[in-house]
Amino acid sequence: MFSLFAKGACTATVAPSNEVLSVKRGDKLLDAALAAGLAWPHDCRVGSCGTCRCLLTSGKIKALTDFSYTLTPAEIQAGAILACQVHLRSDVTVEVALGAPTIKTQTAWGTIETLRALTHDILEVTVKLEEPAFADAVAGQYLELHADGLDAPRSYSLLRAPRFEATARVTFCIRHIPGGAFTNWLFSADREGSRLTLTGPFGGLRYSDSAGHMVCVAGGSGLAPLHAILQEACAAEVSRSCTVLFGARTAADLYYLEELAALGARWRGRFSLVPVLSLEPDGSSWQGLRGLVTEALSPLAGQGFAAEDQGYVCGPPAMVDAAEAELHRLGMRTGAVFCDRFIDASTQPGGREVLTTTGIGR
Amino acid sequence: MWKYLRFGYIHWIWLTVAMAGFLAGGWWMWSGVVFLFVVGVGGEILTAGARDETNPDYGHPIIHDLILYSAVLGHFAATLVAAWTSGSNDPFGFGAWVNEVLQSQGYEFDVFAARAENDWLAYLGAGLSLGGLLGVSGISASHELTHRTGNPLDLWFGRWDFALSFGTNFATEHVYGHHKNLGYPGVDTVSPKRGVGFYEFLTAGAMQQWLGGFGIEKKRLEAQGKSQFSPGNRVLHAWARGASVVIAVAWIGGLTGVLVWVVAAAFSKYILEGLNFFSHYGLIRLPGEKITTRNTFSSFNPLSNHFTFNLGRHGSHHEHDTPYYRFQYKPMPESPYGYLTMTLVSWIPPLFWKLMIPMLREWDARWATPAELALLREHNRESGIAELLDEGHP
Repeated sequence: MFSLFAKGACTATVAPSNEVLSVKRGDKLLDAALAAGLAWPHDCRVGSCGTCRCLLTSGKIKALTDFSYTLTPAEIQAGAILACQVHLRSDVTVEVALGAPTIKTQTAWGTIETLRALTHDILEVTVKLEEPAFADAVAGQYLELHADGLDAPRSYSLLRAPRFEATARVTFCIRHIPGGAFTNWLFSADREGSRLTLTGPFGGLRYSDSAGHMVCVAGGSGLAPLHAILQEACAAEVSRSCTVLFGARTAADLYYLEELAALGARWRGRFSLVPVLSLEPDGSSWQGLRGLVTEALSPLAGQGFAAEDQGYVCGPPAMVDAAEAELHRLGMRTGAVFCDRFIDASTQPGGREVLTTTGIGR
Repeated sequence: MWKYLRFGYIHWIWLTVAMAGFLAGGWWMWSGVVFLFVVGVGGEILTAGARDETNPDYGHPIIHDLILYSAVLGHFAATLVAAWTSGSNDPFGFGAWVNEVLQSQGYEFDVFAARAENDWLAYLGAGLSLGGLLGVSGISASHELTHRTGNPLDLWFGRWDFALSFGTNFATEHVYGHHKNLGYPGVDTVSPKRGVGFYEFLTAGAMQQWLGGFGIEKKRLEAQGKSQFSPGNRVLHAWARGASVVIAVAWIGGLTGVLVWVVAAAFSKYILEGLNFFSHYGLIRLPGEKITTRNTFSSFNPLSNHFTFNLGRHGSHHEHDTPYYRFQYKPMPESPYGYLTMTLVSWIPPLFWKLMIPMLREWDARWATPAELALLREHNRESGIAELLDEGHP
């Protein structure tokens, strides 16, 4: 009953590493964590960037700013808080990925070595770098590509982590966005030999090991980062079951089916690849699923997803939002859904692409 | 005690000088703006070599907060006195009270007679004096207070202090926009790209800041499932506060009072953007890279930091949001003169380029990483500034 007047400190237990911190009354959680030497991710320290977000799993806090400036309603609902804007009102337990590698970005130059049409509007672009770079990039991350003469860079996910690429090569799948400055440039002529500036790696999407079912949902060129992640997991010889739902408009928009089948053949656990077509003409010879890719999730969940199951979702924002909501509806934990929204930068202020990655408590 | 009072004395003296000037009327109405240029800019230039590199400990930080609050109350008083001096009524018997106090001290001075003599030149002086106060002392105090988002009292003081100069969107845009996007020209409204001139920045930047504030608030409210026109819209609150200041000024000072206040609000905005312009000019940050003290130009001139609640330690403020008295010294990019002088320099393009180009050259040579240099080379090329393209430049 004297807690209101108690001087002294509360403790914060930081999962999953189980570090225990003492946080003095009036001190911010992030400041206490940094003072204790924890590698807590952070940047702006005023509650605007969201880098220090963590999941409050028990205890009471006082918010020093309105988190809805920075966090999505789903994140807030799930208990996400900003460590830089929090005083403790009781002992708490929080989840945060400590020592999540501080982003070490670099800039490199290269030329487009090969262009391969995967579908009528998706190109596989291989860039030969002047010297090896991005060695620290993790499967699921992206680089910013900048072509000489264009205003702003654009972000594209790596098709493979660097260790699976030939020396000094990076590969992307790039879909033509009509009206988009970069893709108009790329698709308007044969750009082999063109020079690019590449910066990165960026993005928090990555493989997270678990024994549960791995559910991947890809829309369009969103297959690229998932391909990288699957390749990574396959090489790690994981034995979990995996389902890849690949949403496209028509059969002509599907690609990499052979590559994915080859990955599936090497996968230790059960692996199924399920293309789902939304606009395939009725009379065509297509034997597979039709409709929205998100509609295929419910049969997959059966009685509901288990605590260990995970979702990996990449593609257009509307599809990602729908898939994320559906996965949660079907019982998947908030911290177990990893998303990468491919936002069309040509519609963003300043032309800069802002890729948002969610998935807390990794 | 000095380590506390150094953040107060300038504001107290300046407020007194300006308000006494308003009441004295005539040319005295210019005393506030003369103080800014003579004591502020002149003092900074005279003490250009002086540096304060100390990082003291404070046993009684509450004193720093009381100093801040006292300044905010002073800004209110100055705004109302400026309105009084432009009007013809005597609300609350203020003028009569001043006359009485003066007489009781043996001074034969009639503030009513003095204000009856005021002409438009005197009013212009009043507008600039009040604008200088609100632009430097006012905005640096309200900036500090509106950063304290966890403290309702501080927020209240800060938001009202902003309202005095119709700073309606700053409190939102600055904290939740600028502090996130620092160093991304084109995304951050006050990180000018190399080659951009002040007057282009002033017109485009000011508009963007307004819109930015609305957009951020809309997003916040939508995240809570509310409309942007809901009663909780903090930017609309700020507009309402600004409007109530206008109404109060009109009631006390009539149309003349409002005109004086408009000059003051415009001049304070001119000061704020001048400061924003040089202190963030031409600096970049790679996407995702941490904000550090490298991302702004700071000043450790003591007088400058006494005038601005330590805002010259700007880099530290961005790297580590702490109360103003804990902004740290460490080596970081600096401007050659204090913040008031550099603000004045921002307004005068030939002078600005003369000082800024060497600052940028030094930044590129000393502070930029190779990856940043790669991007800066493009910015330098696009800027068309010859001195950033010569062979000696990195």
